[in-house]
Amino acid sequence: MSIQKLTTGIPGFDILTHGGIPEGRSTLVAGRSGTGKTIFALQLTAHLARHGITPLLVGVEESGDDLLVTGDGLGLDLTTLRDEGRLHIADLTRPMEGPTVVSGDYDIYGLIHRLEAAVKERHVKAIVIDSATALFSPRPPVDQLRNHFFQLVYTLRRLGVTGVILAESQADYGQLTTLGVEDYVCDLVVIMRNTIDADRRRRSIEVNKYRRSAHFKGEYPCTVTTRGLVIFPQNPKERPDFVAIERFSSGIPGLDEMTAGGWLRNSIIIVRGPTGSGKTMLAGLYARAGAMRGERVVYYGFEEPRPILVRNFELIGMPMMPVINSGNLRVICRYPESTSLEDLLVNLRMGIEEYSPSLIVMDSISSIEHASSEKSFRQFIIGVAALLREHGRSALLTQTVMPGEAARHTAPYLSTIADAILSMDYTANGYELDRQMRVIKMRGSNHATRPYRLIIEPGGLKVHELSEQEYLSQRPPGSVAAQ
Amino acid sequence: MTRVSPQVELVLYISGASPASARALANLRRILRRYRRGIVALDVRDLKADPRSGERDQITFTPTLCKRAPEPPMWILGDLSRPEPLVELLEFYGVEPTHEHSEAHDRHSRL
Repeated sequence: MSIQKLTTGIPGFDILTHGGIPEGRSTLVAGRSGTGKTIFALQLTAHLARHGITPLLVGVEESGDDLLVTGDGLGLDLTTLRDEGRLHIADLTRPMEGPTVVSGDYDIYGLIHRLEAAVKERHVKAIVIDSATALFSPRPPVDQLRNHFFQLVYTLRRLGVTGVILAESQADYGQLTTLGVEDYVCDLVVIMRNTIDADRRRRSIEVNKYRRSAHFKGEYPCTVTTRGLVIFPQNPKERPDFVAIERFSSGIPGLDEMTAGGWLRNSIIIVRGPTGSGKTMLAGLYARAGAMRGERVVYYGFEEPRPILVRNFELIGMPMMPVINSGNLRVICRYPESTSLEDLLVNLRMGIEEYSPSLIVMDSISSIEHASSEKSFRQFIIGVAALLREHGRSALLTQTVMPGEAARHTAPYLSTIADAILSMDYTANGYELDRQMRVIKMRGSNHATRPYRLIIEPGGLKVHELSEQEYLSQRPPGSVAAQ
Repeated sequence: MTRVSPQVELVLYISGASPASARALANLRRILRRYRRGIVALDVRDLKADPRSGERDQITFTPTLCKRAPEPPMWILGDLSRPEPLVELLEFYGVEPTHEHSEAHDRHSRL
């Protein structure tokens, strides 16, 4: 029998858990202080309250009133929900000035009777405890602690309510919780982390175990926005078995010829090449041609400020202002060092939802890569790909590599998300700088495998086929041009 | 007989007849017999019968003995099989055992 689940309303979480938290069972949310456990709990509480699953929020670390204020700050309207009787609060904070001493054995019936009464009299269906660590303070010997915790979880199960229990960890990795006993009796265990990775903060969430349920494994990036916690990746929508191939023009006749019909719709294109090979120009053309066709396009520039980018396009005869003014093109420039990758993902998501572009350009993802650790970058790229797929958008991402390396193999997580990879390169061995490009891969297309020559001139790019003879004769010995 | 006004106010929270709660009640009564009648005010609340009565003192565990007055409040968790925390607390507020219930006497009476 499959278990029943309750959705949480936390963007991304219901995907990681294939549907949410187990109904009538207990979930443990573990993490160091500052990892977002309380925000998780408040979002969940608000969602349950709005869906008629009356929650009781038990504040041990913070008073109920403080929790309401935090929730209201995130736009969750907890105070209203409480006033309407759709949410109940229990305050178990202990005043700091009143010490607690121990004189012998005790049990947890005080809390249990209270929870029983809440279920019976106020029809509470879910109980959220923030946190077990604060609750079991002073900390009893471990066997007694295990006994108390088991009794608490068993009571929730007996009452048929869904439990969510937060617990403090001492470190991001290692022993799960400070108390060390909670995970045994919980059906779902979630770990939240907030680590420093290559000088940047990286938040992540992991489903550590889920009894009788499939779930996504490993750490997924998440971020705390003004509207609460957002987790990536999000839903890669069920894709139909067959999608009619739709092509659109790159805006460059020679390039359409090389790709045998233009770009693929709903695809991710990665353009790789060294500095000066024409990537930004190609990206600009992609964006401009789309906007001129009447599509909505967002161009993320990570390498130069917006006025300079717009001016550069203007100078080569590709004016962007008309399509910017018509509202079809948005140019957003920012330095990747100034924001976290998670925030960038959120920004991208909000941009997609609010502006609904069909084409997205990111120039270049290498700037992001250089400003983050490999792990963060990989998570970011996977997040971007999931986001694009979810919304069925097309994107062109540029990647800067060393001269001569454009056709080399790239990191698997990059090459597998790309539906098409183009390499751009140049040789400076001749009299003129000789730029060339090739299609390395393009899913489902009868594209050319020969190199093409690229000429940057007023009005943009010209691409034309390079004959074998021309290619061989122009290739000086020892050249590192496209292999 | 002169009426003694209480110097310390205690509330003992218990859970029905749970073993620890029953022990706490017996231990507390035995400890308080050493003191002048009325000098300690005691209120016993059974959370099984009245679960919400623990809200005021934010009770999670039973048995819990809460000292409400004098301020500030203080909590003693457990069945009082170790009487020292309570005895020391009373001593701190100047509440001493009566002569006939001195420790020697108490020890003797337990034999």
